[in-house]
Amino acid sequence: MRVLLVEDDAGDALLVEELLADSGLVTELRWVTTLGEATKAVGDFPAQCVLLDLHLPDAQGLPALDQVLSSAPEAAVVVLTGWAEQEAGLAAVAAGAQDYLIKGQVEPDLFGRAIRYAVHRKQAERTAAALQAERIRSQENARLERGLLPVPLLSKAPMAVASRARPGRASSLLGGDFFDVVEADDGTVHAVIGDVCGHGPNEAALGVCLRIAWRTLVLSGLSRQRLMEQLDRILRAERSSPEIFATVCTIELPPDRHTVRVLRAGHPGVLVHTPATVELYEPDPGLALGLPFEDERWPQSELALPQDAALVLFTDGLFEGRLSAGGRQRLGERGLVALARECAHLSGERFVDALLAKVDAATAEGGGLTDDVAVMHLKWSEE
Amino acid sequence: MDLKLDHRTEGQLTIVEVEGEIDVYTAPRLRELLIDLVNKGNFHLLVNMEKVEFLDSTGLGVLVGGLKRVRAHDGSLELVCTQERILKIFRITGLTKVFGIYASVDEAREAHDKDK
Repeated sequence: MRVLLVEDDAGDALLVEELLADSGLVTELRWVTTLGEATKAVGDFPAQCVLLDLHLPDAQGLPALDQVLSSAPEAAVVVLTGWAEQEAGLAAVAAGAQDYLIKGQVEPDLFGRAIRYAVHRKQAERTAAALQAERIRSQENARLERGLLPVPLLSKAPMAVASRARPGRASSLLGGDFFDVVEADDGTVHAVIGDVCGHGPNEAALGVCLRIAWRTLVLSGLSRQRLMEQLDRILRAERSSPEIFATVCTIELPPDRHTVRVLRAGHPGVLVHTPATVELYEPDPGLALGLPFEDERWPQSELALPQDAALVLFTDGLFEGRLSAGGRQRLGERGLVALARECAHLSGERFVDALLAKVDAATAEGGGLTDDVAVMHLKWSEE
Repeated sequence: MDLKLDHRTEGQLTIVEVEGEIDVYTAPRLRELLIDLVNKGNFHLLVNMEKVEFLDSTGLGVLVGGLKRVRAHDGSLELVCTQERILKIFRITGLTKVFGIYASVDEAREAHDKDK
């Protein structure tokens, strides 16, 4: 165990040295006489325990303790006080020291035990603090995740929905990918996938906001053009910085099952998945939401839905992964389609998992997917 | 990966040379440069994207943010880009309608001079 003794009195220092030698602890001791030396010493001597006298030439009392605590945050601090200053010892413990010992009143056994316990207490305290921070962060993530990744709002429509979402490696926090599925009163199933540019809690929260807004606008029966205008307006009002924009792709599946209507606002296309193959469908895109451009119309297109076809919505994180370490080649949309075709015989959940596994494998060497990824697979069920 | 940035002034136009990858890691540096140029009174920016190898949505956001900044001073932010994969990103997001995009610095300069 490394112990740093901060004590300006040579006699007291000698005493401590002897106590340590007799305590049974295996220690490596370094002795310094000022606080300035102590703060320098912890740089190359990461002490587990600092024994601190509170009467130093360059610092006294609690301010001395504060400085030690901040320059050696991982060390347990045991304060050495005189017989007449037990109050100061107690105050030091209240201010963050692990313990105090009264000079000249301690036997070697007790001295060794006090140091050992102090180090244990400090470790437990640090672990608990780290756990607490982690717990708060994961609660925060779970809240955002619940908001971003909803339960489909389907009442009667026999639609099988398989979705996956993962935060990117670039940040442990979720980014702004969002998706949703809602059945309108006429039985048409509406689905959306979107991507708020950037990463972090603000973008994730904005993603939640846009998802709920979209859901509300669909349920209130707005036309698609009108819906996008309102969504654009909400984004502009809610974003935390004027450079934030969002891309969105929506589809409508009318209950006759023969067609699908697709609308893109700056978003990649959709995959049309049949048991035989996978094709990328990229109708004319309209403008992403929140750009400095007024009066936009979003082209809407309709596609005849092939027999047994499913639709796969995704965000660009799925195909932006690098193929080799330090290389320039990215998977790209063409690479994604090729991998998807290898999974074409699978359905629903299994298709999505297999596709993600293939994308992971293809980009593993290049560092995996850095951006967040969302995928949603929709297919009419057999009746 | 790497992003190299350089800039020079030609008459009223400030040409920003960008080389490498503009992504979530490097985009903040481009943002800083654009903000700095605008703060120093350069309101007509031409960003040369010919040597850009990758551009993600964070990078697009930085260009959009730059455009908003120069517009606040009646300025302009235009791009030079002929690479199909980068152009595709501008097309998908609809940004071809927002940015003037030129095939070369000379072409952009001529168009700019004519505008005045």
